[in-house]
Amino acid sequence: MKCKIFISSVGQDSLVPLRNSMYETLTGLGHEPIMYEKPSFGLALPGESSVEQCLRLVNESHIYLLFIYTAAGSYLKDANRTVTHLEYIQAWTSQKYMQIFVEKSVLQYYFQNVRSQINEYVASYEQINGTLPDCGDVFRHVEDLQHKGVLQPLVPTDPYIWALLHDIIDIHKVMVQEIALGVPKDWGSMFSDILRQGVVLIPRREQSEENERLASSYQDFTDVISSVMNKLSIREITDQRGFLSEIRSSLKGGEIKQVLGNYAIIPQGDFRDCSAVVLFKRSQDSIICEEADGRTSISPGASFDLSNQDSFVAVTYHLASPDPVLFYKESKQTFYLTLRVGEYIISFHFPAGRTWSIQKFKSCESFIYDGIMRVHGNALTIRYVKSVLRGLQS
Amino acid sequence: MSNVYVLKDGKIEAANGFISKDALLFATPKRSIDDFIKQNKEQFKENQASILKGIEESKRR
Repeated sequence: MKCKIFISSVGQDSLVPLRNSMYETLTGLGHEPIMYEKPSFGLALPGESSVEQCLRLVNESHIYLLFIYTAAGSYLKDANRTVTHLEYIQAWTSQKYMQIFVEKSVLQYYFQNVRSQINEYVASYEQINGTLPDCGDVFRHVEDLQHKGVLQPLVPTDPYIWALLHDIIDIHKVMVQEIALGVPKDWGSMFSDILRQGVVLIPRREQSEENERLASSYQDFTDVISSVMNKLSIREITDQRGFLSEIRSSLKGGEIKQVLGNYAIIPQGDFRDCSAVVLFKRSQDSIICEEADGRTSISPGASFDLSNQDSFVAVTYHLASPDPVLFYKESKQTFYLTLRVGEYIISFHFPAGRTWSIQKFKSCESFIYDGIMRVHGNALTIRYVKSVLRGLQS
Repeated sequence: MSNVYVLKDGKIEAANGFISKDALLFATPKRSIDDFIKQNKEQFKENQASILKGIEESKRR
């Protein structure tokens, strides 16, 4: 079965030699290139529009190649995008292996002059509207900038190209390569490297399938335990210190990422593995530390006044949230996740990376919470602890 | 509306203005633990389906 390779670009005269050279090289290597002008493109299916045919062929391909220069091509008003952009989006959503090449001067102009303008616009749009602008908004903005002479690329460039590059590079975070038209490129070496990457994985196919089977069985086991825990009441923890220690060592650190829209992910900072877990229990008007494990100054027997609103333990008790509350203290550079279950409170301490501050915490708090819960099995572990503490209520 | 509060002099206030480095800030959760677990499980199933489909496709001759 031949490898189908879709060659995508605007039908621009300056790109014709490059497209043809790529087509011939790929045919010579024994692959099946698919390109608009060539017989391999075939005919549209009955009832299929030419755009639908393009997208179907992208979907049926194994590799997607895109060449970008100064022309944007046909713009479809109802899609707010050009045909070439739709082809790219089809390849992206279908998780195709892709290589994207941008002419050198266009790419340099984007990074040096356009990108900062778009980023400012996006930030301002989000602040005003609470959402990200869509591609059409970005296009109209850069089109306006170009008309006003703010953007003046040396080679006349369709402003839609900037919106396209923003989508690829800054929203989807796809790597692009620069290419100089007229300078021959060693396509053979590039495809040899792609072959190498694939071939390394082929002998591991069986192991991957077996791993998926094992992962499924672990997932099923987790589901059973979760379901069974609701039907149990654990009355005693015979080794509290040991229990907290096991819990602490299973809670892992990771990276906090800000997710914008559907795709853009911006790293914000990291947090480290859980450094301490402390268990408290209410006793009349006080909250007493029952046990502690890890690096903490709180020791068993330490008492906190329930009416003391400066204490995270008391605040957690009074908030009575069914899910963990997130605390942060800049001077300690630590995130504290605290959970009340009946008369018990448990706190999980995660050292914060050095880049964190009060301001950053304020702007990223929901991402911090998401980040801690998403890492490793943190959410499952905390839910398990919640089930255990539920049973301990006297 | 901000979800972040600060514990100050025995009171809970919205975290605005100057805040000392020793101050304790907190935010109440917008999502439940169960939501995360459900989302992770859905992601696992989606990834698994995609990986197995890719493996099957790679075996075709």
